[in-house]
Amino acid sequence: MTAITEPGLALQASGLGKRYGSTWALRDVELAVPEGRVIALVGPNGAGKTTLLHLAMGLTVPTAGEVRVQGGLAAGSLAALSTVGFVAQDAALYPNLSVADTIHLAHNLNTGFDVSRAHERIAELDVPLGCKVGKLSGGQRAQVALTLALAKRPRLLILDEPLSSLDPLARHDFMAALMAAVAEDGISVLYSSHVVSELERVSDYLVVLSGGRVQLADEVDDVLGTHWLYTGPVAEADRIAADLPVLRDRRTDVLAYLLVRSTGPQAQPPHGWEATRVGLEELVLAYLRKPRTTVTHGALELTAKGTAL
Amino acid sequence: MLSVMGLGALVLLLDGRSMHSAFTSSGMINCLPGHEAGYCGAALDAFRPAQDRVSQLTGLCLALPVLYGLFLGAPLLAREYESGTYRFAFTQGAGRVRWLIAKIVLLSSFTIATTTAFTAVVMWWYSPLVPLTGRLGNTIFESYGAVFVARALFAFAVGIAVGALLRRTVPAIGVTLGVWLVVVISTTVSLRQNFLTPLNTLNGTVPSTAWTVSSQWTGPDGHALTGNQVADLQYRAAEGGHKLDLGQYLADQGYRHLASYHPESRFWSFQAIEAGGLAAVSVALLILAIWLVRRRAA
Repeated sequence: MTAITEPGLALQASGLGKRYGSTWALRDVELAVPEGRVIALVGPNGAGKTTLLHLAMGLTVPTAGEVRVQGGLAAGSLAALSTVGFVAQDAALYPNLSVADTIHLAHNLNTGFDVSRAHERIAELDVPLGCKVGKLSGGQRAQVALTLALAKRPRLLILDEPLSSLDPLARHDFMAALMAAVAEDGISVLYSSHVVSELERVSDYLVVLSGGRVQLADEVDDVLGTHWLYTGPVAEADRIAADLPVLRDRRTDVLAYLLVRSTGPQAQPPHGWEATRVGLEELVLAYLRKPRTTVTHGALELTAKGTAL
Repeated sequence: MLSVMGLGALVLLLDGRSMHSAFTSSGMINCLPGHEAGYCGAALDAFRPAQDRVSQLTGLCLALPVLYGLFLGAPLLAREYESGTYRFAFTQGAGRVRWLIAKIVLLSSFTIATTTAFTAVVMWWYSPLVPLTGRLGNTIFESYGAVFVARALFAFAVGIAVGALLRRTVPAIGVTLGVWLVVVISTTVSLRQNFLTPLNTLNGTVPSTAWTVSSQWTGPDGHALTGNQVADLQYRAAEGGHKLDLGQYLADQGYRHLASYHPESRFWSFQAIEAGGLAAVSVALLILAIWLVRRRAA
């Protein structure tokens, strides 16, 4: 995951905020995600995931700050739209158009659209070309939307909840198709999901969003390498918790289980304590339960507000 | 849309054939100004059923242009927002402005082409009646020529702009209908007659094809007379043996019949003014819609 040359940024946000009426859907978002990653944007429903993705596509105008994509292109600009592919939630295709007509439409709306590649993929997927998009299954529709986005030959692909309406099999097929495309073209992918399982397998950069704020944004490997579950005598737990940022604090009569973020890459647990690795899913859940913690790449200190439970 | 217009045109073509032949066979052709005046009562009676149908059909034609606003214009953006497909349309490489301009160009061309074809049929259909009734002070004004096309384009533009504002299809359709009706009715009822200054006459003789915008009798003392007074006056004059030289007799008595009217020769000027005005407003509304789509967050 170490960058050989200085990579451009796939997604860049500074002071980004969006307010609907009097409530902030998204606030103070600072992001600098490098290119060439599969970025998972996770968070519960209503966390602001769709708002962030719509801001990145220029579908929504920010209330505060700015967002740039694919090496500093202004979100929603013509340059950005021609190099960033987007698959909206539930695909958002025209239900009354046939698959062939939908491909034709996308061809007319994009320069450099690869029609033959789109037709090839549709044939591989066994989706009937003459069928209306509205009559396809959810999985087929998602695949058609992915096909269109990929045929545009984007450098960055943004997908809003691509898996939410798919059954497990369709989900697997969709992710397999997406990963194959990533491997083939070396594009960056930013996808949102409220499903936290399987994150480790399919993503290498993680952004955790909760309550409209970024809770965590870092390379998956770094996240895994810096979070530990410390197990030790409950009597010393308060002393440990005072030194290290604690994400989750569980105690029995004898033992304390502290989920901590270590400051260095090598975790040296205090004497008499045992450190074990934590799975990504468990970590994400811990961050989601802890609404006022913010960790972003390059800024390792936790904001102090939420550290004491 | 096409089928409604096609059906309407077919009805007019069929009716046109029967009307054209009725016009000739009834002898109406000899009653036209410029022909040797014959006895036209019988011809008028024979032609009356055709003429009644004409007024019914022109009434139906009046409503056609608004359909372009309700079914093409209003849903164009509103349905995109409502169903969420704007997220596809606005994120393609062409960008949302080019997407919208392409849609506008395509659909307004369709609107202009189909309404032009339709009004061409109307013009052929109505042609026998033009020298008889004129086209200015008559509902045919709205279906005959450029105004018909401009009204459809205006409905289309209102629909798009309202859809861009409201973002919901059914309310957009309702508001489009309301706006179109208000503009069209106020134009017909009060604006149009002021496009050009009417001609005036003191003896009340207005050509049968002209559009009379006001008609007023004044007495010898210069006071205006009410309709009842005029009827009473005419009745007593006729009783007094002046049935045939009624106008002359009343004029000699000092009564004046002041009338303002627009002659039939102004028809195309009126068409140009009204159609031009509607087209200008339509273009402004389309620019507003593009601006809304460009500026506002989706």
